[in-house]
Amino acid sequence: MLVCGGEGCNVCKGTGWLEILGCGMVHPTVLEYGGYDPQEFSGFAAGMGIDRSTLMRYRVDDIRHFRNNDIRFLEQF
Amino acid sequence: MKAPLSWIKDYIDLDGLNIEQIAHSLTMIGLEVEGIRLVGLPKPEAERHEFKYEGLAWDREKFVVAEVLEVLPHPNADRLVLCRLNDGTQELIILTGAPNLYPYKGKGELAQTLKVAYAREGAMLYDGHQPGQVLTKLKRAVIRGVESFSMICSEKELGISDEHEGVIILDADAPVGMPLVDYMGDAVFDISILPNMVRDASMLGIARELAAVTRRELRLPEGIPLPQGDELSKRVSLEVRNPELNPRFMLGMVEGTQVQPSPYWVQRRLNLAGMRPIDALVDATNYTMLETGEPLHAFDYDLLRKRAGGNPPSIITRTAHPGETLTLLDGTVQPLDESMEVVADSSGPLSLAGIMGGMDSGISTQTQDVLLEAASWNFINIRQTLSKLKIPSEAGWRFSRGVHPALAEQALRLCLQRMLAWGGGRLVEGILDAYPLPPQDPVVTLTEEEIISRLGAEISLEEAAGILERLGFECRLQEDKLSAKTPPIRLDIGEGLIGKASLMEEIARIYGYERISSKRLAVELPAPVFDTKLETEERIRDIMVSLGLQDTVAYRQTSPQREARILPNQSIDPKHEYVRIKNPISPDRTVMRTSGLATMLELLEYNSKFRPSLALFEIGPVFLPVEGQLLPREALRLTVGIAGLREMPTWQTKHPEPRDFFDLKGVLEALLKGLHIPEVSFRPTERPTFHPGKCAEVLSGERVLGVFGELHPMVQEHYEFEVLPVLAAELDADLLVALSRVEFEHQPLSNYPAMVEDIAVIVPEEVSAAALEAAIRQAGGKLLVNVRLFDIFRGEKLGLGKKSMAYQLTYQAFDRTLTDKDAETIRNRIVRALAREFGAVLRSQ
Repeated sequence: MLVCGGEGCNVCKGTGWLEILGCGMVHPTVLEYGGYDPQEFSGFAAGMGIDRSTLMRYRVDDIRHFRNNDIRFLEQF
Repeated sequence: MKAPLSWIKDYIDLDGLNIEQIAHSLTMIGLEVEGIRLVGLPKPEAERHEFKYEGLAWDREKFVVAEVLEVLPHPNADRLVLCRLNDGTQELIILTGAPNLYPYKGKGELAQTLKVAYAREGAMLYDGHQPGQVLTKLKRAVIRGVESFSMICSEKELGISDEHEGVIILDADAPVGMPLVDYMGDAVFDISILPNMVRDASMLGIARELAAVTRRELRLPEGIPLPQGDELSKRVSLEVRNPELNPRFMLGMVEGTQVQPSPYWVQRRLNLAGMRPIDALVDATNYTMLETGEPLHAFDYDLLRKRAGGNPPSIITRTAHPGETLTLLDGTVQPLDESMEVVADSSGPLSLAGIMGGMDSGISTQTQDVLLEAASWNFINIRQTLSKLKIPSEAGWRFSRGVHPALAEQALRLCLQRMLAWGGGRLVEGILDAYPLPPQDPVVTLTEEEIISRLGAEISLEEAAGILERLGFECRLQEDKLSAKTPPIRLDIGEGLIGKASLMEEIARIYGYERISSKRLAVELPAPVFDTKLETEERIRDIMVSLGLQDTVAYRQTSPQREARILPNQSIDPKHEYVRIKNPISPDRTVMRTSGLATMLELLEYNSKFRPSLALFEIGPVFLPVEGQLLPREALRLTVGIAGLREMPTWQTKHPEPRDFFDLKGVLEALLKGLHIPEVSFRPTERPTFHPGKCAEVLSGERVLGVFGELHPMVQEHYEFEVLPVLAAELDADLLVALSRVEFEHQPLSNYPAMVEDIAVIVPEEVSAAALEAAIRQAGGKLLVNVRLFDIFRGEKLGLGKKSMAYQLTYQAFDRTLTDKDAETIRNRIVRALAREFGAVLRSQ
């Protein structure tokens, strides 16, 4: 798997950037549904795909390896 | 959304900013530029480019605007012509095969010269004759006896479109001699518009955003004033039956137009924005849609009148009646259902509202009188219809995300202006405007304290007001409060608290997320709450891995057929309940699994191709339906699967033994010991999956933890195992978690020495080792601290049906050193108990 360091490759589709984590302030309506008074509380959340960052960390070339349970892949870790 | 830079520049002055900077600004405010296509403009100079570029730059010296003064026949070829051309510095004779120049052949000096895009020798452009975009250098060539070293370009050669049927005829006012890049060089930003930013799926929307972040002036186009008068109301009537589905419907009209191509600059922009130019009327609607974000639709007024029997047509917006169909613009006959909104006349549906027009009323080359619709539709209804019909539609894409009804008026004024300018004709006096449901554009108030506390950035009310105003909000500042009225161009701002959140997002976005500095959490985090279940699961995993097994994650979705493989007769029990999946990913995976064993055997089968020795485990749920309940019980299972050789062959062990029942038992013993599960015992049992006689239950006290054994030979046949034997276990991991202990009582050590001796007893074959050991411990009492079976012997000397079991016994006290006499007392007690219970005989020597 090519990881280009910002130069552009097929993983980042040439842009040099890869989205790793989405985050933000929790919407007041969602806080309400969760039982919190949005007047009093605010919240933030962030989420990261485990697969994506693991892919990059170990230069795994195919995400399906994580689900195949192939012993030749598993025993490398 | 493809946005040509030249078009955006109609609305905002971007001098001093290069393409990279503009793309960066757009990306940082939420309009991510996924790529930039150069159509003439050069790639900006930079050490590193943040964006992906493709396309062609037009060299200033090599590409210019030229004019064709005369078109002459070629002496040796019918399909070629010679053009007398002025390129701004000299007059030349140019060769071309462009069919669109043939009509001018032999007509002498042209009264109106033809402006063209001219490329000189050495120019880099796309090869018109090769599929796709192949770069080539324009070289001198001799064609049919005439030397040619330059040429007039087609759109394909310049990279504007795929069009290579003829050469480009530029608008008459193109300045001869100007470098082509100055005249019409462009770059197209491919912008990803997020679903809640559909107001920016337009050139004006993008320009407004850029103006807000660069603080430059926005120039809004006006269009013609709305025609007053009642002429139109005599020519057509309008009725809106469902205001909730159709909050606004406007009609305007232009008559006596002539079908003709729109000006070249319009066609070029449409091409770059991804829409094909058709003719002046259609182009006017598309151009206006791309510009304002409001889709428009044009009807052929004469066709409507014919459908009304020569009378003024009545336009009705309503839902479809049962059984109605509509022949769409592309010829397909679309059946409609009663939820779908249509624009109809008294004869039936004319168009699928907000999505696609009908063939029977659409614009064609015969059209002279145009009835123009600018409307607004309920976005949920449009979205539902679109997802049912899956019709690709630029209009539908926008309406399904919400377009403000106020934009209809702006778009109507602009589109009418263009239809007149590009198609000729006359404006019919008057418009029809049914606007039953104007939206309430919310007013939101914010305090400085709210902004600073939610955004964590020191943004003053004045600065916030400035940002909002540049986005179109009407702001009022009062001491410590900012009041902002939502502009009638967007429907995404909420009321109250939600409105505050919406505004704060806008403020932060334009202020710049990257300007908000990061800081530490100001408050203490609460004490962590431990999840014992998860932690114990992890400990189980750790123990299993340290025992040498590989962790796996099997599919949770399976089929009854797959699970039936673990039974000798492979038959599916109709009484076995499954949680069924409504929309399975494959016909092979229609239910949630109820067996960990079934999935483990599949994993062993798959991996048996690769290694002669396998040891796998899985901790994961099985899904057991509960009567009267929607959701199943998710029982956690620990499944173990081992197969093949005990170890890999090496120079030390050339022929390793295959794994057996006791290897698996050993794994389970070690696991349970590691978890400090109390009172572990094993007893033989029977299960259809396992080999009779090689199957056991493991218990903690009286509670059954699980079952394990060697696979039944008939079950083995159902799989293609390349290594044998195969052994497996399935345990109740919920119970393991419940019974496991982190804290356990340590066994004190004695200061006094222990005595170790061996005894061997001969017992009948059917006496189990477990029973013997239990009896030995019972009889041995407190001073017997360890019992270990170390040999089992069978032989002729003992006789048939007998076996000799040899144990190593350890005696130890905590208060004194034991003597031989003590040992003898204990030993005798043990031997007597064994003789009594099992008829055991001590084996001499």
